[in-house]
Amino acid sequence: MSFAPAQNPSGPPRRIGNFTGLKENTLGYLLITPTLSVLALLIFIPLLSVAWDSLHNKTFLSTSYSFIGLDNYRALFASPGTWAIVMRSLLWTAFSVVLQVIVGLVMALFLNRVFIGRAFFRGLFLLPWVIPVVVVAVIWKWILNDLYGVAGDVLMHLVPPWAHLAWFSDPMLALPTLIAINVWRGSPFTMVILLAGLQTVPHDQLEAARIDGANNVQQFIHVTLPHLRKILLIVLLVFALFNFNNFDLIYLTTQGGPLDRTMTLPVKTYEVAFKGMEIGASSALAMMMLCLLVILSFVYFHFLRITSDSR
Amino acid sequence: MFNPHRKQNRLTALASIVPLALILIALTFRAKAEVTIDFWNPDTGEAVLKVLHEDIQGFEKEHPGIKVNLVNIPWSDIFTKWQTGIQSGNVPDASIASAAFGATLNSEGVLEPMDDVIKKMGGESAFAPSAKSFVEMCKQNGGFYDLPYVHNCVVLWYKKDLLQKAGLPVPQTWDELLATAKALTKEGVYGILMTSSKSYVTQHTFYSLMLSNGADIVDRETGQKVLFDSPATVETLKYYKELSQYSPPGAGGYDRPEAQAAMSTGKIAMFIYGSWLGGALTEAGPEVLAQFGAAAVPHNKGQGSFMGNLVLVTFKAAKHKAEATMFLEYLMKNENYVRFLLTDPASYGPVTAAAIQDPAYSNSSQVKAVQGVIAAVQAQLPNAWVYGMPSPHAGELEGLNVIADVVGRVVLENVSPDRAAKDGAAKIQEIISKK
Amino acid sequence: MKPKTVQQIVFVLGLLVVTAGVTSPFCWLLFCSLKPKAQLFTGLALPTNLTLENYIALFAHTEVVRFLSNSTTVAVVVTTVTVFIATLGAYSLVFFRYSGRELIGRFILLTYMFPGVVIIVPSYNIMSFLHLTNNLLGVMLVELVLTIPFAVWMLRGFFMEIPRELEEAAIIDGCSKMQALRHVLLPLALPGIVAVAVFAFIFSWNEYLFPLVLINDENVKTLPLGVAGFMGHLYVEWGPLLASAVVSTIPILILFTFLQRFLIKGIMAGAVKG
Repeated sequence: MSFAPAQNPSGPPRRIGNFTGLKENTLGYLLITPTLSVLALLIFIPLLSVAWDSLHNKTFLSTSYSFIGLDNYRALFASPGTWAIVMRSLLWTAFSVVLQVIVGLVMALFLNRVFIGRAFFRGLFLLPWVIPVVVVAVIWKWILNDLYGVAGDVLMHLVPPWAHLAWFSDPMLALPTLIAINVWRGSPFTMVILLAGLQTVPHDQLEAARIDGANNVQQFIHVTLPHLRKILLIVLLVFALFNFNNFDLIYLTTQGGPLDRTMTLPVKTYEVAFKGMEIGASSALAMMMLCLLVILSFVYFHFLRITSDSR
Repeated sequence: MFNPHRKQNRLTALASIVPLALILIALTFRAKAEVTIDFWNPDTGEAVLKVLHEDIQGFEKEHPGIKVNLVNIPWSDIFTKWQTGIQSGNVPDASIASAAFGATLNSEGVLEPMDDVIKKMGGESAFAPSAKSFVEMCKQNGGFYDLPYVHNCVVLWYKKDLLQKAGLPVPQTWDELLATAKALTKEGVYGILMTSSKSYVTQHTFYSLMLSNGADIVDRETGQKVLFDSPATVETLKYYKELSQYSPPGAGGYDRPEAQAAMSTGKIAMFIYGSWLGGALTEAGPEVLAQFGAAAVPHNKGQGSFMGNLVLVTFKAAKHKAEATMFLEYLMKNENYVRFLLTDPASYGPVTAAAIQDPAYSNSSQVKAVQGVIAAVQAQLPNAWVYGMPSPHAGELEGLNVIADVVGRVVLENVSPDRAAKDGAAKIQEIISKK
Repeated sequence: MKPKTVQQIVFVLGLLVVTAGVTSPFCWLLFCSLKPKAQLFTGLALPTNLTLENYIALFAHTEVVRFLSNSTTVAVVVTTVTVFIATLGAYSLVFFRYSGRELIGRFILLTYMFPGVVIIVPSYNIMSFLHLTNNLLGVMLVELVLTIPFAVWMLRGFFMEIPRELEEAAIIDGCSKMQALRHVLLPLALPGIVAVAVFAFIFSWNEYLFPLVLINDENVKTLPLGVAGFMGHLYVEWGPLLASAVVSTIPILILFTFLQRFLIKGIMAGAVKG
């Protein structure tokens, strides 16, 4: 910060003083206002509306409704289906995130070495993530169909007992299949972030480790991983939330079926509102989903603080 | 502290927003004709869209100053869209619907009576005797709230060469059907396609089997009494499960796209499904359609099948009711009606006596090409019914796929048919006792 | 064999495996879309010929061109507005000091985690009230709420890389804050801005849920909604459906080939800054 007097002979009177002046603040607030107003219009107000709706028995089938207090929530908690869906959402999230990080890390490790055409591969590997989810759904529904999908023909040559599995229709297989597709789709994104992290690992430390006789795996565990810790934790949180909120992939492939075996909270919220016509119940579900997210985030940050304190 | 640049900054910011806003407005503003009516259509096949466009063009020529905006919304979504539209005041001016959905909409009091249109057609006698039950479904307290448009039936589709090769006749009873399915399931071929997904495909097949066993969902006089958990239904569930073992393993989750694709592979011998599969098979090629035959749904303790249907409705809250009604009358004019029927005679069975007797219809090559299918449909029409009718909540039953859910639980989850039927009946009772 | 050679071989093999895993589903999609309609379901058996008939059917008989143009319109507008608003916002968060700034920043990042599904009903009601259902403008508005938080976060990362002294120097030399932004910061943050633009474009192009809720009319549908709609048709024509999936990917692929560098840099910069 410079307090030098103005040297400009021509021109309008100069500002003197530091940057935290009142007028600067106003401009600062002004510049953030468009962002905040979009968020207010499309997140806050709707959020209030959802909370409000969850206390009433609104449906799409009639325009009259009444205040019913916490009845929607009571019904929600009393139904065993609700807990199944919550558990499933958590399972879906946990497996998706962990696998996406592992696969992404492997892909990033490949791209961390310098070789000709690296930039090309880097872009290529990002492909599953940049295409619309509907294309992902069409592709995999086409490939994995038990009757006319090519997966069956390929598996017939490789692992014959698997050739006639009903990947999307078998109640036991549907969720794992979707998780696998989700990992295929999401790993490129974790890959890019982890690649950034890998590229900040100090070379001298790696060199030092190698001189001390460490092989690649040991280098990875003792030098690389500790450096990646911060990024890994962030990626885990961000992707846990992404996957938890995921609607498109499940809706476009199985709509939560068969028999709700792939039903997660977001898909159920949509179904209750737009197929079951129940606005009140759907809103209660939505609020519950939000609370879960907040709780998960708190737990996560608490865990983060504990582990970083313990170092 | 005077900042000479602030005003400039604000003006520049404003100046850049204004043209942006204008562009946005210009992009989305559509020049409106004098009157534009919104016509919603859920029957989104290529042939239908073509003929509807022809109708619209003809209508607009006859009535300059009225434009028809065709909005295509698939069956799986249209019930929701009607409801959200009604709530927000954005109802279509006219729409194609089904008798069941029409009953629900009418129970909400949002439909405009159709009596005037029918009077102009010549009153109730304009309808053929074969359409009697359909016509009755569209009435309430003696007045029409739906305009019956076309109807068809679920039939038993079979692949001719597979049956011939095995030397088997077309099955007519449940026992024959089971035996045929079993005999044909070998060497990569499956005897029959039975879906258990939460979809209309499952419902149409299962309901047809229910009717062919003398079971039903509600009574036909009042629509108030739930008959779903009868022994006949339980028997049907058991039979459905038995048949499912002769189906591809993934059929449990098939919806319409997968079912149609599966039939086109030629690896499935039989399918109890609507006569409208004919349209899908024709899409794959007329040689594909020629490989299949259609017959009545095999019967057991009863006789019957699901009646697919299309009705025409207008909404009370529509902005242009008069013009919408004119469009519907145009659609029902005999030459336009016959043209519509001929785009897919297997799916679109006539309801008016005039069309049935019209040689342009009965002698046409399109009708002759699917003569077998039409015969199968006509044989079953007297015993055909729509699930849930005449309950005013039939549409919700259809939209919520309650029956498909029961089937899924029995076939995929091995829940006992008694238990599943009872639970299903409870859910149905809940729905039809609403309000 | 020398250990290094083994290592290299393993590396190349691994690279090939990953590449195959990533690209083979697309290659299969492309290949099948070129099969004649009657031979679509023949599995691994080679078709007698390759044909463009599915693409011709797609373009001649469906509204796919309309879907493409709708998606493009929405994506371009959303991208432009997002970049504009996010630039101002990120500038505010980095180069100003006012009370609540940290809080606001963190809060904006949190809204990025917000599940869109929660607000489907109210956003339908709001758009309905504004008469913007079945209207691209409504979709654009809602998509902004999904792109802006991440864009602000990403640009903030880029802005934080720029030394404060440069901005201060500009102001001392007589620039207003806005001029400093325009003349000094934007050129330096250009890679970040391009990254944000690419991200917003991809995001908007792929968005499905809100168009699903807000749009009925075939003429107003965006591409993902249109393709999903093909699956809901009464008679699903798999040939044109597969072709439409390929067509949905092409614009993104083109955009991506030229601009992936920026997108990747952007994500990486945002990630490291945390």
